[in-house]
Amino acid sequence: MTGGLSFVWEHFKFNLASAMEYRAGFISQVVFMVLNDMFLLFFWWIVFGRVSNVGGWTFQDVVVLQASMAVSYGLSVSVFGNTPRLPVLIAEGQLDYYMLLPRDPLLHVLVSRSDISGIGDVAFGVGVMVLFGPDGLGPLVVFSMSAAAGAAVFTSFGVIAGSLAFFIGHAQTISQQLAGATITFGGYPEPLFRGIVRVALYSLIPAGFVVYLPARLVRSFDLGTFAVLMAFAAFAMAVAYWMFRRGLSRYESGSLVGTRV
Amino acid sequence: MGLAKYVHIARINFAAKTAYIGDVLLGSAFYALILYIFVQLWKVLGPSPGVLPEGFSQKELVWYLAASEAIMLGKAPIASEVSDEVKSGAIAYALGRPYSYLGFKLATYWGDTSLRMMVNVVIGAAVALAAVGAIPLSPARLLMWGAAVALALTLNFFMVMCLSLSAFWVEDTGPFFWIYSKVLFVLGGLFVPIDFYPESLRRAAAVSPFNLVLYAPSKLLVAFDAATFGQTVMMQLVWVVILGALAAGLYAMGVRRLNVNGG
Amino acid sequence: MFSEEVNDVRAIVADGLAKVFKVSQKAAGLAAGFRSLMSPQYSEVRAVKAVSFEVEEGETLAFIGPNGAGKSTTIKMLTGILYPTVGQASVLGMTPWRDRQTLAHRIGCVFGQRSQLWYHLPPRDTFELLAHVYDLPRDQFRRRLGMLVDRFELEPLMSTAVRKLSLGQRMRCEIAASLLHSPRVLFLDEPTVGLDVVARRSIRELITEMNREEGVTVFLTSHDVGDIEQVCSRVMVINHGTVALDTSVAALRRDYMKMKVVRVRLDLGVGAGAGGDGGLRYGDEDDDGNDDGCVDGAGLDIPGVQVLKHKRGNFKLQVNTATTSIDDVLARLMQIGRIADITIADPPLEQIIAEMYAEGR
Repeated sequence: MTGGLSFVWEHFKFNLASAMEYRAGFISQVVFMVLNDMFLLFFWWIVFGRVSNVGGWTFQDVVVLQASMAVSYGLSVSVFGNTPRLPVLIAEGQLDYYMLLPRDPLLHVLVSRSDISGIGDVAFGVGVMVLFGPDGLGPLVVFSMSAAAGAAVFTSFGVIAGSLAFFIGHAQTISQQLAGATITFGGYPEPLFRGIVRVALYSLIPAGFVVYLPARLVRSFDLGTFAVLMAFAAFAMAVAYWMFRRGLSRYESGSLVGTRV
Repeated sequence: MGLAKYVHIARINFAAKTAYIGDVLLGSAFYALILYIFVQLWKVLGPSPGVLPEGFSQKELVWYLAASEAIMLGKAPIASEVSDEVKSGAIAYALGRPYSYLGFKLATYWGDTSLRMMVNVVIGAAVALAAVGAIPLSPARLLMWGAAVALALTLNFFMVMCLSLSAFWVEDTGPFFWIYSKVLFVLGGLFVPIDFYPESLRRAAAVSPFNLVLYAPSKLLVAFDAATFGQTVMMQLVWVVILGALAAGLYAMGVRRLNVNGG
Repeated sequence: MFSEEVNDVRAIVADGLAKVFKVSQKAAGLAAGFRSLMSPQYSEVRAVKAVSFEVEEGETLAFIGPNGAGKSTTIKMLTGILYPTVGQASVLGMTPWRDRQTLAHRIGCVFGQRSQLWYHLPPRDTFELLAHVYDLPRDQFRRRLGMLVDRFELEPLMSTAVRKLSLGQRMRCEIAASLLHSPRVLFLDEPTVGLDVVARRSIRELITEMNREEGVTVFLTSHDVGDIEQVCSRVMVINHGTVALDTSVAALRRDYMKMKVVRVRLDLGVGAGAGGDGGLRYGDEDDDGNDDGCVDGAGLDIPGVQVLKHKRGNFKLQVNTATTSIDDVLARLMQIGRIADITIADPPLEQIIAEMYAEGR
């Protein structure tokens, strides 16, 4: 476990160092993403200029929601930056390199790339949490832990959708749509959605676990909810790992695509 | 003079894009999703007093968003293509051809955009009808709304074109388009009509050309009046001419520069 | 399955390895697209059909064959990247696709077209990262790296971003990186592709040295005869998914590499007995279509020499060095005209393989 963590950390440092080779590009990517995320709040600023709550959610709750989404997403793409590219890497047979090294290929693939703009998302999320979030250290600790769980769920769903490429060949669209839907739903308060859609948001589209539960926990901590979140994160990771492993035995390495057909 | 060939170019590009109808439909899935979320949002917010500005009902807000998002997601992406052509010097190819570069690009843009808009109009109308029901529309109004939308999309073309052509002088144009999309989002009134805004921001949006791309045509759909229509179309035409001239000037200057530097 | 004793001798065993790929068939058109979505049509490609061989520890084997012969697929099965459809394999006593992670500690791989170096970082950083990936103890890593840096002369390259290195420098780093964890078997897939003559020679020497000094088993694929001749002692030819020939490089040289291709440009102008030597008056343009017809007229009917092509003073000859030495051929050519330019090359590997087939049938 600690070996795995240090492995992830080493790769993250390397990705950073690699990105730092172009310092100006690095800084602008991060700064732009912070600014970009600030625009998400613009709409809510207009809305809350006219109403005091949306389905019982205050402006602060919405800020926590946006912060959770930004940090979960930002952690996922900056630490496990290859997640969105997984279906392409599988379909194009670009996993060879990882399979030749003595590490778990899934973890290794995921950490081998970093989307630097994700650091901007994390900075935005932490920043608005500190500025506009609930006071005190407690909510910040809860926020950090549940955003980490949210990142794990988001990444795991990305891996599950991406691993479909082993079985159906082209899975890029479905994985993009899944991530897009999660992010889109994750930007709006949970009370807007009821019935079957609410069920979907806690199953097919994991926005419920990526942002709604973390936002609820920051609002009022509850051990049961926290346990559910952590358990689901562990479950999602296990399913993702299992899917990828199952797929690997069907893996068709790259050169064939190029030389035949 | 020679307009036929541009129509032909647009038609060919339209036909070519139908091969990627799957991608267009997927884009529409996102469009339908956003509409659905806002329908839910206005349902929750609607009953609160003082939420809606003068002259807007929940129903009209949904139709407004359907119209503004249809334009936002319907405009064909040309920015990176043009920037790349400038960077690689491929833009010079147009010099040896019997058409204007801007005209050619506008034609291909419209070929792609018209397909996207057709799909979006169908999907937007279906979602809005199902969610909140019809708003009063006559064929004549629809036609005039269509004209305003066409001008809005043309205006967008020239705005993007000016930014893209700046690639002659600027290393990375990416940030420009990012800023443009955010400006459209705020000053264009993408999610809510600018009437929602605090007064000073509303006035800033109203004088900017960006509201002519999203807000003005979308508001015409839900609250039509002839005077506003005339004013909108007038302003759109003025800005199309200004930005069209600017784009033509940038192109001419840029190409000269390209020749001097040898590409 | 394999006893310890056997492991000591055999580095690689392949037993009836075969791999069948399913390739989906897509027809053009929207309707056909939907149809293939509903009921996809597959055709089978048998990339490797029942390959069996053994490689002893410390051996240097060239694994060659034309493109699409099944080389890469075989290597990928032996390194655990691909599961075979049927058959067994053992590398250092392990089943590659089952014990992939354990095996990875003991094999090294260089796949010519695919870099393991981080493009924007200096090689030193990649080596550091690999030390973590392979869990190498600090002092062992430092010693090993020091040795490799010395041996591969990497010191001046260590702090330069990989993107700024030449292809040859990069390949030296690649091979050093693959040796960092002291593997027992080294798989090299076209390690010299795209390199210039000097870089090629240095890569070959380094591989040979590591084999001699550390007893690393070398399993190499290449399209370059030089790689095979200078690095390997044994050669195996694979074609159409089966082993077509398995022999020593010495035997290969004796039997097949005796052919050389000589390209020469003769100065036929002044002083070369223009007109005197009737055999060399090649009309002007009219002989393009029928070289062979004029070959006899060229007066080069030396035994063991076949004129592949000639035009004006330019000759392309294939010389069987078992029959006639290159010296003799040159002497004969100099009688005809002054030699303005000359290159002597091995025939392309494809041709050698083609000949093996012709003879082996």
